[in-house]
Amino acid sequence: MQNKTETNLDKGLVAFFEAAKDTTPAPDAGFLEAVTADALAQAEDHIKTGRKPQITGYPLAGLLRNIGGWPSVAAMISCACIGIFAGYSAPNSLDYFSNTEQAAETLNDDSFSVASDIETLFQEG
Amino acid sequence: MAYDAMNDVSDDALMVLYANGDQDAARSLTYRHAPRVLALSRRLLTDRAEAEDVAQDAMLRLWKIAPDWRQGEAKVSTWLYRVTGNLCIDRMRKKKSANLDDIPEPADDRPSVEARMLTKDRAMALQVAMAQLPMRQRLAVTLRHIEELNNPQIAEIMETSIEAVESLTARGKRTLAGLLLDQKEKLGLE
Repeated sequence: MQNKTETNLDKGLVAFFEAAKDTTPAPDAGFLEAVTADALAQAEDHIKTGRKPQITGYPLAGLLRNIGGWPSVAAMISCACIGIFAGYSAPNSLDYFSNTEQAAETLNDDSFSVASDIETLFQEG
Repeated sequence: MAYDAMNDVSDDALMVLYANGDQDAARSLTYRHAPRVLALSRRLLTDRAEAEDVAQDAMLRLWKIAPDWRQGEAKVSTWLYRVTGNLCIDRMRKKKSANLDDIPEPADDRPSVEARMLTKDRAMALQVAMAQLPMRQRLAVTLRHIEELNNPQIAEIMETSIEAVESLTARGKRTLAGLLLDQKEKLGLE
């Protein structure tokens, strides 16, 4: 209901807003010259006082902003730590499985004898 | 580099160039932003000279802040709209209320046969009606319906919520409708 009222209001006023846009006051040359003169005078002050533009705090600020800020960095560091931990602390089960014969005995699985079957095939031609 | 060759240069880059003493960057920023700053202040304030003062003041503040401008944090146009709006509000507070006598009334019985004259009359009627709105409603309606900014942009400029912007524009338009709709026939709209 309110939206319908707003739409009707917009319809009633649109001609007035369009008229305002069509008659946007253009700045005269004197105004633009005055603004430019201010700019140049202020620039001289900046040079005299040695004020220089900031280069966005620190070099990687842009990259940091693009990847989502410090929370994203914290998440990436956490993932990296977990990865390094998993890499260095090899679980006992991996040592156990590194010995295939022992593993085959343990699991009693034919898949571990495939290698010897292939060797046999090559030998037999 | 001539300032008209800087059309493709971003505002942030121009601010750095200007702060390093580049005169073309100063001219480019002036021609890019001063007209819209002036247009906003002319719509918010009734007095032309006062509007030019405010626009010049807003631009001067931009020049002063240039060395400290933090790239990527705010758009120059948004910053300028905010400063201009606040300066206009300050001026209006000092004057307490708009002096409607300063605004030329639209002609009552002028035969508006030419479209150009009608457009001018409608714009003037809107200006008179806008002067009766509270300043923040006037600012919100102007930014939304004449400068054609979206509500999030206006919320950022006015440092308020989007809901507050919607409320301000809705109330402003209701008041404007009450003031203008009875003039529609006279202004060739019915």
